[in-house]
Amino acid sequence: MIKGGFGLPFFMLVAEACAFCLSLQLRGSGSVLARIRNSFAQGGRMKKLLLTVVLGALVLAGCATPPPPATPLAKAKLTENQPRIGVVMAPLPKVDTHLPGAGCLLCMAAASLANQSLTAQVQKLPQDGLLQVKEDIAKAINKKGGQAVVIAAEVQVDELPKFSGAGGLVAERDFRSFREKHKLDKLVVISVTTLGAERPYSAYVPTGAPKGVFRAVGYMVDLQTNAYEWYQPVEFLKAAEGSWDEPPTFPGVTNAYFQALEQGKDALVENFN
Amino acid sequence: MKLASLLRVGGLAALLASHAALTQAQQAQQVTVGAPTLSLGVQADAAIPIKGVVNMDAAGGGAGGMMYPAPNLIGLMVAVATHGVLADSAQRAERARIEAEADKVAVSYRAASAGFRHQHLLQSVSAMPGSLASGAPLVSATHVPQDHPVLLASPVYSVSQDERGLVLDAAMEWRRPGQTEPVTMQARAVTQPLEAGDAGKAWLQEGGARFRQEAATLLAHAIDASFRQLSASSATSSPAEQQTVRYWVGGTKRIERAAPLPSGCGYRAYRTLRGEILVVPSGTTDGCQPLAASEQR
Repeated sequence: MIKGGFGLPFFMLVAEACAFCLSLQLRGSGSVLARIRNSFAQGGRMKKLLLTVVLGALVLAGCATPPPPATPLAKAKLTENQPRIGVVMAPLPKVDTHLPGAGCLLCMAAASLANQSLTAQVQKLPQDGLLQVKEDIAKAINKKGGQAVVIAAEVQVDELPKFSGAGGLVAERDFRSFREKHKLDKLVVISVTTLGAERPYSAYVPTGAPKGVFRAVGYMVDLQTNAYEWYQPVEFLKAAEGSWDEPPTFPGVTNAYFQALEQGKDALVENFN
Repeated sequence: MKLASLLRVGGLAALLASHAALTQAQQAQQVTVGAPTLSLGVQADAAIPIKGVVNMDAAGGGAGGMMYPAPNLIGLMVAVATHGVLADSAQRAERARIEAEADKVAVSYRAASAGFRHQHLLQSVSAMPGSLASGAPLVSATHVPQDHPVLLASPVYSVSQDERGLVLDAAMEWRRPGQTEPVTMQARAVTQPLEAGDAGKAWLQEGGARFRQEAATLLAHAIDASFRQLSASSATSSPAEQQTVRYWVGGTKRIERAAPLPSGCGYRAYRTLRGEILVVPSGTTDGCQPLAASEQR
């Protein structure tokens, strides 16, 4: 096993170097810098390629929808006019190791290889009562005097139709079908997006130790207007205490995962207490 | 008459002598029954390390790309290697900086307990009632008694950043008669957090009396839990036994995945995923009844 993520296999370096050279068409002699300079000077293929990439990135960035701002929950919304509030969860993600920053294909391969025993352990970890969150939220709403209904089925948010209506802080997807189907006035959606361990990378090189990670977003939608009445992203990154590199069971990282998971669950439910 | 009197005096003397012998034998027997459960090995004149509780949650660099200036294969390899060395060095420096920053909270505690040595700590533990270490004799670190184990404890204390909590991390080395290899364990014990406010003042007033008292209590609990594990069959736990344990280090909620162990007076004990002992306050007086004879031995 390659520990620490820095022991890059030699063949990967060779492959990367070949890919690098091929992409620049530098099979002949001469330095890379000289070639790039020449390409620019001649208005060549390199310049066109770079321009295309930059313009493409600008266009894509402009089209990306920014996430809604965090909107705290006004507790009165849970009981005002005695609304029936459904609580539903999106499908849970796989518990896995995440390696942000290992962007290129070979970087990803190298980082995955370097962390394979950690990944093997992380993938064995349970989601440990995460589905209980919707029960806990429903209990908290009922305790406040509201009427909560737990919806057992998962909601595939991305498969819902896009919401075309205008307004203030409205959901991108149309949740209004839940109004008729489940006789609801509001819907609380819990969507866990990342579970497991996360280790930041800068190309081939790890820039930090793996941490337990929990990312989720919780929101409540008014099913008449499709507007958010609560929107709360939740993120917990917990470091392993002491050394993390303890194969094969990685107790430090495993414990950090459970810390992140429990704190994430608590943070979601606490909004309703 | 004289002879009868002499016989009477002689008989009385014999009776007294036999009574004295019996008393001596009974006393000897009592000494055997009341032999210490354990002895505490003293590291002569060793200071008690005190640190600040470290939180590495925010440590580590961000994720991002890197363009390597590589004119050829060798250049690329050198660039990646250099990047790795620099990143590793940056992480070490960051860790050292965070630890140094965290240790600032411990400065006044170190000053207050400057004269508080390993020996004084163990004396306090031995003088503490209701613990397995109560009345334990203090022996030299190399001495192993014939009839009971000796514990060499190396405690390190950490003060939480809000100064409301105290954490003991102790390496425990048990040496038992007739066994050449010591049994080693790592234990952690945490205090009930103090009320928010001037917690630092509460620990340190009267020359740090409360700090010393709590330091001894934590060690006594850790010794209790550790002693109970000496004869335990396994040093690990199955996933089915594990549960999520929540406790407080000062005002910060901590979570540990651990399996329950036999608890004691005022504390609950667990075995962590690393196989270490975790002792947290129970907040009750459960388990404070007199210890069973089997546990005394």
